[in-house]
Amino acid sequence: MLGFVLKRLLQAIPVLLITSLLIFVGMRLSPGDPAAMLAGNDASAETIAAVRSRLGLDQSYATQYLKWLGALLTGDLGRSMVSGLPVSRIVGERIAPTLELATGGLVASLLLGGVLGTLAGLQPNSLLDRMVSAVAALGLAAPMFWTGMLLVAVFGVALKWLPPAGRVPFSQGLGAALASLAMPVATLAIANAPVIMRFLRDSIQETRRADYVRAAHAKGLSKTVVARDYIVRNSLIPTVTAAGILLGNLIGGAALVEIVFSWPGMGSLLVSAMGNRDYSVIQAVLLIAVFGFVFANLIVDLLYGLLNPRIRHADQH
Amino acid sequence: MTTMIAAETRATAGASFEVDGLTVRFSGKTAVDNVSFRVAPGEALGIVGESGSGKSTTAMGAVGLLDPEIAAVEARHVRLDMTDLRGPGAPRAGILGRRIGVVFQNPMVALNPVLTIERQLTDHMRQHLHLDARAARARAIRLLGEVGITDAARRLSFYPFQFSGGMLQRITIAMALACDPELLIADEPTTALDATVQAEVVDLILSIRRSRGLSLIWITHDLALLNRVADRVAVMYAGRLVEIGPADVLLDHPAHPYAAGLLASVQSLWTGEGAEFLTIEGAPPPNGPEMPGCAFAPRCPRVFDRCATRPPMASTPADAAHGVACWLFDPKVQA
Repeated sequence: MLGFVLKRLLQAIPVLLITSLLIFVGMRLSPGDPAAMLAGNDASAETIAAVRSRLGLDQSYATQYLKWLGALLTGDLGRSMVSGLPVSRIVGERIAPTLELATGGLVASLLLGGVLGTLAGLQPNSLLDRMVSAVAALGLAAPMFWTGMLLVAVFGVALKWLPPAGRVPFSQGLGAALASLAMPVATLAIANAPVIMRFLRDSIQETRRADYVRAAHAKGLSKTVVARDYIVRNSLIPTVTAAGILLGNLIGGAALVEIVFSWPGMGSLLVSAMGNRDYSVIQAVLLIAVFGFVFANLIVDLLYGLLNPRIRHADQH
Repeated sequence: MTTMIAAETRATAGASFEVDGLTVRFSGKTAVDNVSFRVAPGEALGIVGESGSGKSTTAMGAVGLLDPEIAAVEARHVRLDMTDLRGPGAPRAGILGRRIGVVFQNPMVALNPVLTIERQLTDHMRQHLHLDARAARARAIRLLGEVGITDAARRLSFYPFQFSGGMLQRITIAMALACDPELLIADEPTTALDATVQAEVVDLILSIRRSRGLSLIWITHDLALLNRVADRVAVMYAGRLVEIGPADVLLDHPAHPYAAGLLASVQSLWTGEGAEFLTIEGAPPPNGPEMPGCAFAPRCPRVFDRCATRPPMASTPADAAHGVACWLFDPKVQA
């Protein structure tokens, strides 16, 4: 197991290298000059050139990239081009809120999608199945910023049940923190739970017809045991793959939700850094997002092995 | 546990199994039409027919293993000894897997790929016989020994993909026997196996049947096999039972023209070189079970006007234990 984890982490290195290059090149190719923006509207050409030189942006792309990469390897993310503060500190403050949101969104999506998908899958074409499918289609179709604003309008403004925006840290009380987290997490879950729900439902309906399920019925096992050990358990394997795709959605979705709910996370940081052309912050945020994605996929692969003995035992055969 | 002691000490005599008027419809279309038969205690009944004749559907429908979402099953009754399996409030739970064991055609897909052999050998044992984990495990090891799997204690922790097809079929046989059933239903248990393994599995089931005194229903399309495994033979055609009788009589002197044609074609295969391979012209009608008359009439060499109405199952004049559904054997026609 440890060998497997190490192997996967080594495999992540080229992925991170390539994405770092893509992120770097993407930034340089996008319009807007950070030096000109930082120097201000009335700045002379000399001032702009001076700022550019101070930021190191007058060097060749290759030099800039290698310098950035070299610093990264020593754990140095550089300094913000705008505030001059260390990027590690800026990003550090934003990671916890984003992790809260993404974890909450993932757990809520898996729970909601898992429960509804199981119920719908075990009772195909029932009223419940059809209702769940219809609601899932709505959730999938509704844009996340719209769902978010609708929730704010209803529960934040009209009913005043929940704070309409902003984050309360857990250190200031569990209740208030959960209340501030509720709507952003719900927005993520409404968009992402249908993916899990549909995958699991279809997977269960297919598994119900498997020969080994009929053989389990022939053993006279109770319906609950057949559903639990022979249908749902086997249906989880393909669903784990869907959960991996979901993680990608959540990383992108969290950024959008952070804007709608003024959530002080990596997503809103990225958007403001984009506005300022703050290359060092943007690069750091994107690279951390990629790393998070790679790490999450490693977890998915480990989970896959846990559920599927054939993969777990692959090294013995 | 008293149940366990009863199961252990019972001389494992087989139970009688009686199916009366079984009809199965798939979304309104009849697949099995009014089939009745009886298996005496300790007797082996072979059900033979070609693909689509309804032989598997008959057995699976009788014991309640067809998906109720797609299959509508009716019967006057299905009885294991005195217990009615189909009546209202029938005690189905505790019958399947406990008093009736089923072995399926393809062992490669009949086992759950993500559960260990131990789990799959013991989960129904623990449910039906209320054994604890240790007792169930000991019983599983003994069962694997009985079906000829060596090193059973170690192999209990294996998953299905770690076994060959022949070994897996031995394991599913052990599963079917786990709660000491009185009736074993073997649904083409050798069809999916390599030819070399087939004979071993046939021998295994026959020896277990002898040692345990089980009643047996063996479903097959292989007439040659029936000679070895069956005391009595039931022939199905297009969803209907057309002939049933003692194996030695029926396989020597089949009464129904379909059974006779089937046997002649197999025998022409056996005689081998030079001999012409005999076939029955045509193919079974797709709506056979719904035809008002005899379903074999369109292909029958001896068809006559009476065949437009459906022949009842009746004893042949020579042998009361030998039934045939054909107007040729009606006393009025013969007279």
